[in-house]
Amino acid sequence: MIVGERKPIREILELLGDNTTVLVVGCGSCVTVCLSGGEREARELASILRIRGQSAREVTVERQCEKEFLLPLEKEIEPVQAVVSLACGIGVQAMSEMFSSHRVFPGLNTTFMGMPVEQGLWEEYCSGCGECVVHKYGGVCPVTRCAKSLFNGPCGGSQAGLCEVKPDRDCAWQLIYDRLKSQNRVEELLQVQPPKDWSFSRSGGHRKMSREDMLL
Amino acid sequence: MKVVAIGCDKSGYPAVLRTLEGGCTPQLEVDVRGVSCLGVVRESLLLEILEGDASYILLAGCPLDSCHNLEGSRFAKARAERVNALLDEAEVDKRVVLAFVTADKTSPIRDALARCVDEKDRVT
Amino acid sequence: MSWLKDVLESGAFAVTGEVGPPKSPNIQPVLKKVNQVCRHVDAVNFTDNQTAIVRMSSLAGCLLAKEAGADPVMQMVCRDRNRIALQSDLLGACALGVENVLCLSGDHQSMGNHPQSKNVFDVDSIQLLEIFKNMRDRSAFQNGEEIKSPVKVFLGAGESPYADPVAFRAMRLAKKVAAGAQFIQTQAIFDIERFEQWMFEVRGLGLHKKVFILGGVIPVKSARALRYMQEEVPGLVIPENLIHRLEKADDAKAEGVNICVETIERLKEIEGVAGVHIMAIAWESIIPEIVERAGLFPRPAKGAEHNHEDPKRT
Ligand code: SF4
Ligand code: SF4
Repeated sequence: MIVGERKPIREILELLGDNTTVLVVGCGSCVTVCLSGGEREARELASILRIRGQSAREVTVERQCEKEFLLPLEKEIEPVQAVVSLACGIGVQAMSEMFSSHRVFPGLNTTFMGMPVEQGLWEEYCSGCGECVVHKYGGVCPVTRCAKSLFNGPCGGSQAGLCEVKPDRDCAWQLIYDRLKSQNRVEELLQVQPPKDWSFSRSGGHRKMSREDMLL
Repeated sequence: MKVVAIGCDKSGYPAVLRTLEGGCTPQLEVDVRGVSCLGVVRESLLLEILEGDASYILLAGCPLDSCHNLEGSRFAKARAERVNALLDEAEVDKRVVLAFVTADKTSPIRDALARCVDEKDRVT
Repeated sequence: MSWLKDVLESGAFAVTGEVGPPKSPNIQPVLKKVNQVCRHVDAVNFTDNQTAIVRMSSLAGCLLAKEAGADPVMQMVCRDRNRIALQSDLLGACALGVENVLCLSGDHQSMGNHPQSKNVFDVDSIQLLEIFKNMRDRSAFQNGEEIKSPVKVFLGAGESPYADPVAFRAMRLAKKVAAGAQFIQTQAIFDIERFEQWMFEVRGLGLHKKVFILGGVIPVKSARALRYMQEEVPGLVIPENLIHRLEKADDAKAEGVNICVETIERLKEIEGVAGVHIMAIAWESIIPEIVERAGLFPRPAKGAEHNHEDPKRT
């Protein structure tokens, strides 16, 4: 899922500036699950704006990143001066594209692709590198979960299984080593992995995917 | 100044009524509501009430460790803190205050209401 | 030619030192440090923006050292440059006669003075070794394209015997050797027993015959400095008794030098250790005393026989 974090309310207020009639748009998918931009959060933000004397309404769509779900919003959006989207950056852009005469402000900072690891805690798991290799690493992504994206083993600073860069996080290479050891596959790590082809990643420029068989 | 007091039927609600009967802070207009347990009071309800003319919400429930429904008071405490944090962030000077009491106690309620008045005095 | 390589191949116990370039374009501190150490070491490392703090580039430091008569080791980290820049800088170093290169991953920028910067990590240190090895041995860039004239480089890598997972450490050295490492400079050694254990594993894999291992040492000036390293520097293991020794000493600085010299004495006895790398951070002036007291002075003299240019030698 995509994980995002609500911007500080003060920042949202600054973004809104003089616009007093506001529509807050939540998204019913990822950001609902990570408790940052769903129906509940949209209602809370709109409520706060109203308490502050602004004229705010809220609405939540199933998925802000698909235009079909946005069509019914047209009537709601027309009268307002500004829109705050509580979706990920994709939702904000979809809204901006759909309702291009309106200002759409991001209410969230989209942070990463990850998963909930315990109640109230989410962690990044994938950076969308375009060529997945996790099977070589016991199912632990070195691109994302190692702070230095190392492919051939841990750096010199891993201690007590924790990352030297962020000591409240596991060292990805400890996890990789432990997983492969439990599978009796440690020797596989002896293979020198050649440099990664980053052209499939964001480094190769903006990416598109097309499926000939699905095109109309 | 208006305060909405929400009390748990087992504890806070009777305690608030008793406090008010005994005569209390005259500056306050207190609107008292009863609920089956403070655990049913969600953030959205708190915010909705604050959208009106109330400056304070008093949540009065069972003591944390002897809540009639076990976790009700704890939930209420966590939610009040979240709402207060949102209000803080938005620089709105309305607040949710808490009092944990048994049905026969009045002083914690009186203290909480007095706190509302004090804080208001300080703010303005 | 790499003088460091000649010394190591001659079988002498090698000594290298480290110089942190200044946070300015002033060449005086570089020349001063080089002059302080150059008669007592066989080669001088120049760090590459170590701890992610901006400093004069390693290559510039290397060139200054070379002009002052020392054999420089250029450190290169993967944090700030992609494979294009790394290969380009190797060609540049080679053109300027800097032939020892130490390949490292690099400290994360969040630990330094520009934590807002973006990092690169296009390749890791092992991949970098392999790229450079192929540039030298197969005259090929990473993409396979031919390099028209020979690349000369003596390739080194770092190794941290103490970091986790410990069981993987010797294997990781094997990977570095397979990827092209010819010499290794280790993380600072304070816990000599654990270092010996690691060397035992290294010998078990036969790696000591394939790569020159230089044990790293750091002279410390006070118990506080050592405590700080114990708590803050990743990848170090510092036994309590050393901290106590410094606390109890009347002259902690002298005791710090004693500990360093003792460590070198122990290293000289360990089978497979080819030399010592002295990291006297902001205390380069102490290097001559340490080298002399460890019985490693004078250093082998650069004889005329080393001046000839024999392309097969690298
Ligand atoms: S290897 Fe690439 S695609 Fe696979 S989990 Fe890691 S970043 Fe994602
Ligand atoms: S400690 Fe582990 S996760 Fe952190 S940078 Fe080093 S190898 Fe990567």
